[in-house]
Amino acid sequence: MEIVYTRGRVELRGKTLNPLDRFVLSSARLLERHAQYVVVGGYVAVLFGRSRGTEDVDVIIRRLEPSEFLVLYNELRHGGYYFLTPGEPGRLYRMLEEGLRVRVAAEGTVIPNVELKFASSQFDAYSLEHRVAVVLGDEHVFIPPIELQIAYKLYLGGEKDVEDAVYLWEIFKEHLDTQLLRKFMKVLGVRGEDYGIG
Amino acid sequence: MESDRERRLKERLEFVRFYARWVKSVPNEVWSRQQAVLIESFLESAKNFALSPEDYLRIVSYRERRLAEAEAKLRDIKLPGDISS
Repeated sequence: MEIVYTRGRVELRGKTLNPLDRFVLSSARLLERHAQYVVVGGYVAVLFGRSRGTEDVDVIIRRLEPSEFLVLYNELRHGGYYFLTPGEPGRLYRMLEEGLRVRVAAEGTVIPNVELKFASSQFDAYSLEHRVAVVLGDEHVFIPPIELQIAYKLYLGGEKDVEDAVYLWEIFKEHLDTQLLRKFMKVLGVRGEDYGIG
Repeated sequence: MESDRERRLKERLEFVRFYARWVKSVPNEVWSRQQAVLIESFLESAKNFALSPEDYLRIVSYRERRLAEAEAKLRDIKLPGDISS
């Protein structure tokens, strides 16, 4: 793997884009015009080569005002997407306000889909504020700092989550701020040592 | 003594580490071409199970609830100053 890793930016040259990458990049291009976002969850490991499928792409966006959400809603609808989560824009907005997720997919499909949520914790806010641009040729997608992503996956604790955490650690261990990683693990109450992390 | 679940996870993690070492050892073109084949076939087979949005949302509702519970616990946690600054 050839990566160029600097603070706030990872360049991944020559990656053959798969259909999931293309879906994420086109959704991200549209989201970016309306809201600061980060893609989190399983897709981050897939982006860097993990050999597994994922049907949904978790995305955190900063909290929008109702009018801003309506603009985003209309833009998504005009851009060939629809909301799998049923309801008119006002209901979808209320769901997001309550900390729930709403799902968006390309018209006529269910998988893959984007699982959208408003930032709701200091971890989400940190992810947005310190987001990392992953550059793929002429395109880019924003992800949280890898240190937080690893600690958060360990916090979730499912088998796939732990596997993703271990994968990201193995790929990035030479580049990561291990002090920061340990601080995130401490505040989330998880132990990386059990998995050779940190 | 190790449970079956623990043993299985340990084996999976060994494979994940092995695979990560391989990804790091080859050019991006090599691992990403193989990954593209896998993901294309994953998404192709998903198309064969033509789910309605309603059915799909029912299927993923358990995972969504679990995630929402995990996230709710984080809402009151303040990041220490040496992280948040």
